[in-house]
Amino acid sequence: MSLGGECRRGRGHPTRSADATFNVSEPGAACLNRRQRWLFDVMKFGLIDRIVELTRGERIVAVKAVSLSEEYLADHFPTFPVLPGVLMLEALVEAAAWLVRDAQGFSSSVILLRRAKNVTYKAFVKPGNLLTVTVTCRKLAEEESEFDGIGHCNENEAVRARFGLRHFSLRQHEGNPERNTRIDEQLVETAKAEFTLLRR
Amino acid sequence: MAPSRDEVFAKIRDVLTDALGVDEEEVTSEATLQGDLGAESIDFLDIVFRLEKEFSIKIPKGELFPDDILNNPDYVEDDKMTPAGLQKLKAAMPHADFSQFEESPYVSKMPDLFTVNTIVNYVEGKLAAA
Amino acid sequence: MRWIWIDTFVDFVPGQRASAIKNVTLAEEHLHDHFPGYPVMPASLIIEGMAQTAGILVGEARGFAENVILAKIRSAEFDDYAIPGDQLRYDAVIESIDERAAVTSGTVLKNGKPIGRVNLIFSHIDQADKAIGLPEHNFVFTEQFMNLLATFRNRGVHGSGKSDGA
Repeated sequence: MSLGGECRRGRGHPTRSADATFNVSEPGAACLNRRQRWLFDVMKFGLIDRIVELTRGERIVAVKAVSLSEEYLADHFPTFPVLPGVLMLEALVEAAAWLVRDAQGFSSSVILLRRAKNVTYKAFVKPGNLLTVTVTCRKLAEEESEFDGIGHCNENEAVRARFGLRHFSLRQHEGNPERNTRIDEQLVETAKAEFTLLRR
Repeated sequence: MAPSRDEVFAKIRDVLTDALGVDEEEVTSEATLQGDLGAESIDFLDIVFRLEKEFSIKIPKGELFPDDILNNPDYVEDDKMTPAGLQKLKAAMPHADFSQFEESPYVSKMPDLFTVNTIVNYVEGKLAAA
Repeated sequence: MRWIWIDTFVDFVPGQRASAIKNVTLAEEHLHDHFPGYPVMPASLIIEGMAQTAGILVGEARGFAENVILAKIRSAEFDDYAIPGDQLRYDAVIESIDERAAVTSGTVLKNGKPIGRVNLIFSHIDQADKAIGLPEHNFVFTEQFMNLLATFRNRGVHGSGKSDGA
Protein backbone atom coordinates (compact mmCIF):
# COMPACT_ATOMS: atom_id res chain seq x y z
CA MET A 1 0.00 0.00 0.00
CA SER A 2 1.53 3.29 -1.02
CA LEU A 3 0.74 6.44 0.85
CA GLY A 4 3.52 8.60 -0.52
CA GLY A 5 4.87 10.54 2.41
CA GLU A 6 7.65 9.06 4.48
CA CYS A 7 8.52 9.53 8.10
CA ARG A 8 11.26 12.12 8.52
CA ARG A 9 12.82 10.04 11.22
CA GLY A 10 13.51 7.39 8.65
CA ARG A 11 11.28 4.78 10.20
CA GLY A 12 9.76 4.08 6.84
CA HIS A 13 6.13 4.22 7.81
CA PRO A 14 3.51 6.42 6.19
CA THR A 15 2.68 9.74 7.79
CA ARG A 16 -0.31 11.84 8.45
CA SER A 17 -0.70 15.57 8.61
CA ALA A 18 -1.21 17.44 11.85
CA ASP A 19 -4.92 17.77 11.31
CA ALA A 20 -5.30 14.04 11.74
CA THR A 21 -6.30 13.22 8.18
CA PHE A 22 -4.30 10.75 6.16
CA ASN A 23 -2.81 13.15 3.69
CA VAL A 24 -0.49 11.43 1.29
CA SER A 25 1.25 14.48 0.01
CA GLU A 26 2.77 15.76 3.21
CA PRO A 27 5.96 13.95 3.98
CA GLY A 28 7.55 14.69 7.25
CA ALA A 29 4.30 15.37 9.07
CA ALA A 30 3.69 13.84 12.50
CA CYS A 31 4.26 10.09 12.73
CA LEU A 32 1.33 7.79 13.09
CA ASN A 33 0.96 6.25 16.48
CA ARG A 34 1.99 2.66 16.88
CA ARG A 35 -1.46 1.21 16.40
CA GLN A 36 -2.06 3.12 13.19
CA ARG A 37 1.31 2.06 11.76
CA TRP A 38 0.63 -1.53 12.67
CA LEU A 39 -2.64 -1.40 10.76
CA PHE A 40 -0.80 -0.78 7.53
CA ASP A 41 1.74 -3.49 8.15
CA VAL A 42 -0.26 -6.31 9.51
CA MET A 43 -3.97 -6.32 8.63
CA LYS A 44 -4.76 -9.58 6.91
CA PHE A 45 -8.12 -10.78 8.06
CA GLY A 46 -10.36 -7.95 6.98
CA LEU A 47 -12.83 -8.48 4.21
CA ILE A 48 -13.62 -4.87 3.43
CA ASP A 49 -11.16 -2.78 1.45
CA ARG A 50 -13.22 0.33 0.98
CA ILE A 51 -16.51 1.85 2.10
CA VAL A 52 -18.15 3.47 -0.90
CA GLU A 53 -21.41 4.71 0.55
CA LEU A 54 -22.88 4.93 4.00
CA THR A 55 -26.30 6.16 5.02
CA ARG A 56 -26.14 6.18 8.79
CA GLY A 57 -28.08 3.37 10.36
CA GLU A 58 -29.66 2.38 7.03
CA ARG A 59 -27.42 1.21 4.27
CA ILE A 60 -23.79 0.63 3.47
CA VAL A 61 -22.02 -0.17 0.22
CA ALA A 62 -18.48 -1.52 0.41
CA VAL A 63 -15.95 -3.30 -1.73
CA LYS A 64 -13.71 -6.35 -1.33
CA ALA A 65 -10.99 -6.61 -3.95
CA VAL A 66 -9.81 -10.15 -4.64
CA SER A 67 -6.16 -10.63 -5.50
CA LEU A 68 -4.14 -13.70 -6.35
CA SER A 69 -1.63 -12.52 -3.76
CA GLU A 70 -4.01 -13.66 -1.01
CA GLU A 71 -2.42 -16.83 0.38
CA TYR A 72 -5.54 -18.84 1.08
CA LEU A 73 -6.45 -18.80 -2.61
CA ALA A 74 -3.70 -21.33 -3.19
CA ASP A 75 -5.83 -23.79 -1.23
CA HIS A 76 -9.22 -22.61 -2.50
CA PHE A 77 -8.82 -24.03 -4.91
CA PRO A 78 -5.56 -25.16 -6.45
CA THR A 79 -5.93 -24.46 -10.23
CA PHE A 80 -9.22 -22.66 -9.60
CA PRO A 81 -8.78 -19.80 -7.15
CA VAL A 82 -12.05 -18.23 -6.01
CA LEU A 83 -13.14 -16.21 -2.99
CA PRO A 84 -14.51 -18.72 -0.45
CA GLY A 85 -18.23 -18.48 0.15
CA VAL A 86 -17.81 -17.90 3.88
CA LEU A 87 -15.55 -14.93 3.14
CA MET A 88 -18.29 -13.45 0.96
CA LEU A 89 -20.52 -13.77 4.03
CA GLU A 90 -17.75 -12.27 6.17
CA ALA A 91 -17.61 -9.28 3.81
CA LEU A 92 -21.36 -8.75 4.30
CA VAL A 93 -20.93 -9.12 8.07
CA GLU A 94 -18.04 -6.66 8.24
CA ALA A 95 -19.88 -4.11 6.14
CA ALA A 96 -22.82 -4.41 8.51
CA ALA A 97 -20.48 -4.07 11.48
CA TRP A 98 -19.18 -0.78 10.11
CA LEU A 99 -22.74 0.45 9.77
CA VAL A 100 -23.34 -0.46 13.41
CA ARG A 101 -20.16 1.22 14.60
CA ASP A 102 -20.92 4.40 12.73
CA ALA A 103 -24.53 4.48 13.90
CA GLN A 104 -23.62 3.79 17.53
CA GLY A 105 -20.63 6.10 17.71
CA PHE A 106 -18.31 3.11 18.12
CA SER A 107 -19.85 2.21 21.46
CA SER A 108 -19.88 -1.54 20.71
CA SER A 109 -16.30 -2.71 20.83
CA VAL A 110 -17.07 -6.31 19.89
CA ILE A 111 -19.39 -7.16 16.97
CA LEU A 112 -20.04 -10.80 16.08
CA LEU A 113 -22.20 -12.75 13.65
CA ARG A 114 -25.04 -14.33 15.60
CA ARG A 115 -27.05 -16.00 12.86
CA ALA A 116 -27.26 -16.25 9.09
CA LYS A 117 -30.12 -17.60 7.01
CA ASN A 118 -30.43 -18.59 3.38
CA VAL A 119 -26.94 -17.50 2.40
CA THR A 120 -27.12 -18.36 -1.29
CA TYR A 121 -24.13 -18.43 -3.60
CA LYS A 122 -24.77 -17.67 -7.25
CA ALA A 123 -21.46 -16.93 -8.88
CA PHE A 124 -17.76 -17.35 -8.28
CA VAL A 125 -15.63 -14.30 -7.52
CA LYS A 126 -12.22 -14.65 -9.09
CA PRO A 127 -8.94 -12.80 -8.53
CA GLY A 128 -8.83 -9.47 -10.31
CA ASN A 129 -12.49 -8.87 -9.56
CA LEU A 130 -14.29 -6.75 -7.01
CA LEU A 131 -17.08 -7.95 -4.78
CA THR A 132 -19.38 -5.01 -4.07
CA VAL A 133 -21.54 -5.61 -1.05
CA THR A 134 -24.72 -3.71 -0.34
CA VAL A 135 -26.12 -4.19 3.14
CA THR A 136 -29.39 -2.74 4.36
CA CYS A 137 -30.34 -2.59 7.99
CA ARG A 138 -33.65 -4.11 9.05
CA LYS A 139 -33.25 -3.55 12.75
CA LEU A 140 -30.68 -1.89 14.97
CA ALA A 141 -30.85 -2.18 18.75
CA GLU A 142 -28.09 -1.66 21.28
CA GLU A 143 -26.93 -5.26 21.43
CA GLU A 144 -28.36 -6.80 18.29
CA SER A 145 -29.08 -5.93 14.70
CA GLU A 146 -30.46 -7.52 11.55
CA PHE A 147 -29.51 -7.08 7.93
CA ASP A 148 -30.13 -8.10 4.35
CA GLY A 149 -27.04 -8.23 2.19
CA ILE A 150 -26.23 -8.75 -1.48
CA GLY A 151 -22.85 -9.06 -3.12
CA HIS A 152 -22.31 -8.27 -6.78
CA CYS A 153 -19.38 -9.04 -9.00
CA ASN A 154 -19.34 -7.53 -12.50
CA GLU A 155 -23.03 -6.71 -12.07
CA ASN A 156 -23.93 -10.33 -11.44
CA GLU A 157 -25.26 -11.35 -8.08
CA ALA A 158 -22.69 -13.51 -6.33
CA VAL A 159 -24.18 -13.87 -2.86
CA ARG A 160 -27.22 -12.90 -0.87
CA ALA A 161 -27.99 -13.38 2.80
CA ARG A 162 -30.10 -12.39 5.72
CA PHE A 163 -28.16 -12.22 8.96
CA GLY A 164 -28.11 -10.95 12.51
CA LEU A 165 -25.27 -9.53 14.57
CA ARG A 166 -24.62 -9.47 18.27
CA HIS A 167 -22.61 -6.59 19.73
CA PHE A 168 -21.49 -5.36 23.11
CA SER A 169 -19.11 -3.06 24.83
CA LEU A 170 -16.36 -5.10 26.38
CA ARG A 171 -16.08 -2.81 29.35
CA GLN A 172 -19.62 -3.76 30.30
CA HIS A 173 -18.95 -7.42 29.78
CA GLU A 174 -18.35 -9.79 32.66
CA GLY A 175 -14.77 -10.22 33.76
CA ASN A 176 -11.95 -8.00 34.92
CA PRO A 177 -13.39 -4.46 34.57
CA GLU A 178 -10.04 -2.70 34.56
CA ARG A 179 -8.56 -4.95 31.90
CA ASN A 180 -11.75 -5.01 29.88
CA THR A 181 -11.94 -1.23 29.85
CA ARG A 182 -8.37 -1.02 28.61
CA ILE A 183 -9.00 -3.55 25.84
CA ASP A 184 -12.28 -1.85 25.01
CA GLU A 185 -10.50 1.45 24.46
CA GLN A 186 -7.92 -0.26 22.30
CA LEU A 187 -10.57 -1.93 20.17
CA VAL A 188 -12.46 1.32 19.66
CA GLU A 189 -9.32 3.26 18.78
CA THR A 190 -8.28 0.64 16.25
CA ALA A 191 -11.75 0.54 14.75
CA LYS A 192 -11.85 4.31 14.38
CA ALA A 193 -8.47 4.32 12.66
CA GLU A 194 -9.49 1.60 10.29
CA PHE A 195 -12.80 3.30 9.55
CA THR A 196 -10.94 6.44 8.52
CA LEU A 197 -8.74 4.32 6.30
CA LEU A 198 -11.68 2.58 4.64
CA ARG A 199 -13.45 5.82 3.89
CA ARG A 200 -10.52 7.86 2.64
CA MET B 1 -57.22 -38.17 7.94
CA ALA B 2 -55.62 -36.31 5.03
CA PRO B 3 -55.00 -32.60 5.61
CA SER B 4 -57.22 -30.08 3.81
CA ARG B 5 -55.92 -28.05 0.88
CA ASP B 6 -55.73 -25.02 3.16
CA GLU B 7 -53.63 -26.91 5.67
CA VAL B 8 -51.32 -28.13 2.91
CA PHE B 9 -51.04 -24.60 1.55
CA ALA B 10 -50.20 -23.22 5.00
CA LYS B 11 -47.42 -25.74 5.51
CA ILE B 12 -46.03 -25.09 2.04
CA ARG B 13 -46.13 -21.37 2.73
CA ASP B 14 -44.02 -21.98 5.86
CA VAL B 15 -41.55 -24.06 3.83
CA LEU B 16 -41.22 -21.32 1.24
CA THR B 17 -40.84 -18.47 3.72
CA ASP B 18 -38.17 -20.52 5.49
CA ALA B 19 -36.27 -21.58 2.40
CA LEU B 20 -36.51 -18.33 0.46
CA GLY B 21 -36.59 -15.76 3.23
CA VAL B 22 -39.71 -14.11 1.83
CA ASP B 23 -42.59 -12.72 3.86
CA GLU B 24 -45.76 -14.76 4.32
CA GLU B 25 -47.84 -12.22 2.39
CA GLU B 26 -45.72 -12.74 -0.72
CA VAL B 27 -46.57 -16.44 -0.86
CA THR B 28 -49.84 -16.40 -2.78
CA SER B 29 -51.22 -19.33 -4.78
CA GLU B 30 -50.30 -17.73 -8.09
CA ALA B 31 -46.84 -16.55 -7.05
CA THR B 32 -44.10 -18.00 -9.24
CA LEU B 33 -41.16 -19.47 -7.36
CA GLN B 34 -38.51 -17.88 -9.51
CA GLY B 35 -40.09 -14.65 -10.75
CA ASP B 36 -42.07 -13.59 -7.71
CA LEU B 37 -40.30 -15.32 -4.85
CA GLY B 38 -36.73 -15.11 -6.12
CA ALA B 39 -35.89 -18.83 -5.94
CA GLU B 40 -32.55 -19.97 -7.37
CA SER B 41 -31.90 -23.46 -8.71
CA ILE B 42 -30.28 -24.44 -5.40
CA ASP B 43 -33.42 -23.23 -3.62
CA PHE B 44 -35.48 -25.70 -5.64
CA LEU B 45 -33.39 -28.50 -4.13
CA ASP B 46 -33.78 -27.00 -0.67
CA ILE B 47 -37.56 -26.81 -1.16
CA VAL B 48 -37.79 -30.47 -2.25
CA PHE B 49 -35.82 -31.54 0.82
CA ARG B 50 -38.01 -29.51 3.17
CA LEU B 51 -41.24 -30.77 1.57
CA GLU B 52 -40.06 -34.35 2.05
CA LYS B 53 -39.45 -33.70 5.73
CA GLU B 54 -42.57 -31.63 6.32
CA PHE B 55 -44.99 -34.06 4.71
CA SER B 56 -43.07 -37.32 5.21
CA ILE B 57 -43.14 -38.02 1.49
CA LYS B 58 -40.46 -39.11 -0.91
CA ILE B 59 -40.00 -36.91 -3.95
CA PRO B 60 -38.06 -38.80 -6.62
CA LYS B 61 -35.68 -36.72 -8.69
CA GLY B 62 -37.52 -34.83 -11.41
CA GLU B 63 -41.01 -35.62 -10.20
CA LEU B 64 -41.80 -32.16 -8.85
CA PHE B 65 -39.40 -30.22 -11.06
CA PRO B 66 -38.59 -32.31 -14.18
CA ASP B 67 -35.12 -30.90 -14.90
CA ASP B 68 -34.27 -33.46 -17.54
CA ILE B 69 -37.15 -32.46 -19.80
CA LEU B 70 -36.74 -28.76 -19.06
CA ASN B 71 -33.04 -28.80 -19.84
CA ASN B 72 -33.20 -31.16 -22.81
CA PRO B 73 -32.05 -29.31 -25.95
CA ASP B 74 -33.91 -31.82 -28.16
CA TYR B 75 -37.17 -30.28 -27.00
CA VAL B 76 -36.22 -26.72 -27.86
CA GLU B 77 -36.45 -25.01 -31.24
CA ASP B 78 -36.17 -21.28 -31.85
CA ASP B 79 -36.31 -20.61 -28.12
CA LYS B 80 -39.65 -22.39 -27.93
CA MET B 81 -40.56 -25.79 -26.63
CA THR B 82 -41.38 -28.28 -29.40
CA PRO B 83 -44.84 -29.90 -29.43
CA ALA B 84 -43.23 -33.21 -28.52
CA GLY B 85 -41.42 -31.59 -25.61
CA LEU B 86 -44.58 -29.88 -24.45
CA GLN B 87 -46.42 -33.19 -24.49
CA LYS B 88 -43.70 -34.85 -22.41
CA LEU B 89 -43.67 -31.98 -19.98
CA LYS B 90 -47.44 -32.05 -19.51
CA ALA B 91 -47.31 -35.76 -18.86
CA ALA B 92 -44.52 -35.28 -16.32
CA MET B 93 -46.24 -32.38 -14.59
CA PRO B 94 -49.95 -33.12 -14.07
CA HIS B 95 -49.68 -30.80 -11.08
CA ALA B 96 -48.95 -27.72 -13.19
CA ASP B 97 -51.29 -25.37 -15.04
CA PHE B 98 -50.23 -25.19 -18.71
CA SER B 99 -52.98 -22.89 -20.03
CA GLN B 100 -50.75 -19.81 -20.24
CA PHE B 101 -47.55 -21.58 -21.23
CA GLU B 102 -49.26 -23.46 -24.07
CA GLU B 103 -50.19 -20.20 -25.79
CA SER B 104 -46.58 -19.11 -25.99
CA PRO B 105 -44.26 -21.92 -25.01
CA TYR B 106 -41.06 -19.87 -24.86
CA VAL B 107 -38.27 -21.48 -22.91
CA SER B 108 -37.85 -18.26 -20.98
CA LYS B 109 -41.40 -18.61 -19.69
CA MET B 110 -40.90 -22.13 -18.36
CA PRO B 111 -40.08 -20.99 -14.83
CA ASP B 112 -43.58 -19.46 -14.65
CA LEU B 113 -44.99 -22.99 -14.57
CA PHE B 114 -43.68 -23.33 -11.05
CA THR B 115 -46.18 -21.52 -8.91
CA VAL B 116 -47.09 -22.15 -5.30
CA ASN B 117 -50.24 -23.82 -6.64
CA THR B 118 -48.11 -26.23 -8.61
CA ILE B 119 -46.50 -27.39 -5.37
CA VAL B 120 -49.81 -27.55 -3.50
CA ASN B 121 -51.30 -29.70 -6.27
CA TYR B 122 -48.27 -31.97 -6.25
CA VAL B 123 -48.23 -32.49 -2.49
CA GLU B 124 -51.98 -33.07 -2.35
CA GLY B 125 -51.57 -35.72 -5.03
CA LYS B 126 -48.77 -37.44 -3.10
CA LEU B 127 -50.71 -37.43 0.15
CA ALA B 128 -53.82 -38.81 -1.51
CA ALA B 129 -51.85 -41.60 -3.15
CA ALA B 130 -50.13 -42.55 0.11
CA MET C 1 -3.49 -17.85 6.03
CA ARG C 2 -3.99 -21.40 4.77
CA TRP C 3 -7.46 -22.58 3.96
CA ILE C 4 -7.82 -25.58 6.23
CA TRP C 5 -10.24 -25.05 9.07
CA ILE C 6 -10.27 -28.46 10.72
CA ASP C 7 -7.36 -30.22 12.41
CA THR C 8 -8.33 -33.86 12.67
CA PHE C 9 -11.26 -36.21 12.38
CA VAL C 10 -12.44 -37.98 15.53
CA ASP C 11 -15.33 -39.84 13.98
CA PHE C 12 -16.21 -40.87 10.44
CA VAL C 13 -19.05 -43.15 9.48
CA PRO C 14 -19.13 -43.23 5.66
CA GLY C 15 -22.33 -41.91 4.15
CA GLN C 16 -23.68 -40.90 7.54
CA ARG C 17 -21.79 -38.66 9.92
CA ALA C 18 -18.41 -37.25 10.80
CA SER C 19 -16.83 -35.24 13.59
CA ALA C 20 -13.75 -33.07 13.33
CA ILE C 21 -11.81 -31.00 15.83
CA LYS C 22 -10.51 -27.47 15.36
CA ASN C 23 -8.14 -26.00 17.90
CA VAL C 24 -8.19 -22.24 18.26
CA THR C 25 -4.68 -20.91 18.82
CA LEU C 26 -2.95 -17.55 18.99
CA ALA C 27 -0.51 -18.93 16.44
CA GLU C 28 -3.21 -18.20 13.83
CA GLU C 29 -2.70 -14.87 12.04
CA HIS C 30 -6.32 -13.98 11.58
CA LEU C 31 -6.99 -13.91 15.31
CA HIS C 32 -4.67 -10.96 15.65
CA ASP C 33 -6.95 -8.95 13.39
CA HIS C 34 -10.19 -10.27 14.82
CA PHE C 35 -9.90 -8.47 17.01
CA PRO C 36 -6.62 -6.73 17.89
CA GLY C 37 -6.24 -7.23 21.63
CA TYR C 38 -9.34 -9.44 21.89
CA PRO C 39 -8.99 -12.52 19.72
CA VAL C 40 -12.25 -14.24 18.78
CA MET C 41 -12.66 -17.04 16.25
CA PRO C 42 -14.75 -15.51 13.43
CA ALA C 43 -18.12 -17.23 13.04
CA SER C 44 -17.63 -17.33 9.28
CA LEU C 45 -14.58 -19.55 9.77
CA ILE C 46 -16.53 -21.78 12.14
CA ILE C 47 -19.06 -22.20 9.35
CA GLU C 48 -16.17 -23.10 7.04
CA GLY C 49 -14.94 -25.71 9.53
CA MET C 50 -18.35 -27.32 9.42
CA ALA C 51 -18.40 -27.01 5.63
CA GLN C 52 -15.07 -28.81 5.36
CA THR C 53 -16.15 -31.56 7.76
CA ALA C 54 -19.45 -32.04 5.97
CA GLY C 55 -17.91 -31.56 2.53
CA ILE C 56 -15.41 -34.37 3.02
CA LEU C 57 -18.16 -36.58 4.43
CA VAL C 58 -20.28 -35.89 1.35
CA GLY C 59 -17.38 -36.24 -1.08
CA GLU C 60 -16.30 -39.56 0.39
CA ALA C 61 -19.86 -40.88 0.14
CA ARG C 62 -19.63 -40.53 -3.65
CA GLY C 63 -16.02 -41.60 -4.02
CA PHE C 64 -14.83 -38.02 -4.50
CA ALA C 65 -16.21 -38.23 -8.02
CA GLU C 66 -17.60 -34.72 -8.11
CA ASN C 67 -16.53 -31.27 -6.99
CA VAL C 68 -18.48 -30.62 -3.81
CA ILE C 69 -19.11 -26.89 -3.52
CA LEU C 70 -20.96 -25.01 -0.80
CA ALA C 71 -24.09 -23.69 -2.52
CA LYS C 72 -26.24 -22.48 0.34
CA ILE C 73 -25.98 -21.96 4.07
CA ARG C 74 -29.55 -22.82 5.04
CA SER C 75 -28.92 -21.55 8.53
CA ALA C 76 -26.10 -20.92 10.96
CA GLU C 77 -26.70 -19.88 14.55
CA PHE C 78 -24.30 -19.25 17.36
CA ASP C 79 -25.05 -18.99 21.07
CA ASP C 80 -21.46 -18.38 22.13
CA TYR C 81 -18.05 -17.62 20.69
CA ALA C 82 -14.59 -19.26 20.83
CA ILE C 83 -11.26 -17.82 21.91
CA PRO C 84 -7.66 -19.08 21.82
CA GLY C 85 -7.25 -22.23 23.85
CA ASP C 86 -10.76 -23.42 23.06
CA GLN C 87 -11.34 -26.62 21.16
CA LEU C 88 -14.17 -26.68 18.66
CA ARG C 89 -15.81 -29.82 17.40
CA TYR C 90 -17.92 -30.06 14.26
CA ASP C 91 -20.47 -32.90 14.19
CA ALA C 92 -21.86 -33.22 10.68
CA VAL C 93 -24.65 -35.48 9.46
CA ILE C 94 -25.78 -36.20 5.90
CA GLU C 95 -29.52 -35.57 5.65
CA SER C 96 -29.87 -36.23 1.94
CA ILE C 97 -27.51 -36.94 -0.94
CA ASP C 98 -27.72 -37.64 -4.64
CA GLU C 99 -25.68 -36.92 -7.74
CA ARG C 100 -26.72 -33.27 -7.88
CA ALA C 101 -26.50 -32.13 -4.28
CA ALA C 102 -26.26 -32.97 -0.60
CA VAL C 103 -27.97 -31.53 2.46
CA THR C 104 -26.15 -31.66 5.79
CA SER C 105 -26.96 -30.62 9.32
CA GLY C 106 -24.45 -30.06 12.08
CA THR C 107 -23.70 -29.01 15.60
CA VAL C 108 -20.74 -26.92 16.71
CA LEU C 109 -19.36 -27.68 20.16
CA LYS C 110 -16.91 -25.66 22.21
CA ASN C 111 -14.99 -27.68 24.80
CA GLY C 112 -17.71 -30.31 24.61
CA LYS C 113 -20.62 -27.90 24.94
CA PRO C 114 -22.98 -27.19 22.00
CA ILE C 115 -22.74 -23.56 20.92
CA GLY C 116 -24.10 -23.55 17.40
CA ARG C 117 -25.90 -25.23 14.56
CA VAL C 118 -24.90 -25.07 10.91
CA ASN C 119 -27.08 -26.51 8.12
CA LEU C 120 -25.71 -26.57 4.60
CA ILE C 121 -26.45 -27.52 1.01
CA PHE C 122 -23.64 -28.58 -1.30
CA SER C 123 -23.81 -28.69 -5.08
CA HIS C 124 -22.00 -31.36 -7.00
CA ILE C 125 -20.75 -29.39 -9.94
CA ASP C 126 -19.24 -30.56 -13.15
CA GLN C 127 -17.90 -28.88 -16.24
CA ALA C 128 -21.36 -28.47 -17.73
CA ASP C 129 -22.44 -26.35 -14.83
CA LYS C 130 -22.06 -22.72 -13.82
CA ALA C 131 -18.74 -21.12 -14.57
CA ILE C 132 -16.56 -21.11 -17.62
CA GLY C 133 -13.06 -22.28 -17.11
CA LEU C 134 -13.70 -25.03 -14.57
CA PRO C 135 -10.73 -27.38 -14.46
CA GLU C 136 -11.48 -30.88 -15.66
CA HIS C 137 -10.13 -32.67 -12.65
CA ASN C 138 -11.43 -32.59 -9.11
CA PHE C 139 -10.02 -29.44 -7.56
CA VAL C 140 -11.91 -29.43 -4.26
CA PHE C 141 -10.48 -32.47 -2.56
CA THR C 142 -6.91 -31.45 -2.11
CA GLU C 143 -4.13 -33.52 -0.66
CA GLN C 144 -4.64 -31.75 2.65
CA PHE C 145 -8.20 -32.97 2.94
CA MET C 146 -7.42 -36.47 1.75
CA ASN C 147 -4.58 -36.70 4.28
CA LEU C 148 -6.92 -35.73 7.10
CA LEU C 149 -9.22 -38.57 6.22
CA ALA C 150 -6.38 -41.03 5.69
CA THR C 151 -4.86 -40.13 9.05
CA PHE C 152 -8.11 -40.86 10.78
CA ARG C 153 -8.53 -44.18 9.02
CA ASN C 154 -4.98 -45.25 9.77
CA ARG C 155 -5.62 -44.83 13.46
CA GLY C 156 -8.09 -47.71 13.35
CA VAL C 157 -11.77 -47.96 14.34
CA HIS C 158 -11.29 -46.79 17.92
CA GLY C 159 -8.76 -44.11 16.97
CA SER C 160 -7.76 -42.35 20.13
CA GLY C 161 -5.38 -40.00 18.39
CA LYS C 162 -2.47 -41.34 20.40
CA SER C 163 0.82 -41.28 18.59
CA ASP C 164 2.06 -44.63 17.41
CA GLY C 165 5.56 -43.59 18.19
CA ALA C 166 6.57 -43.57 14.54
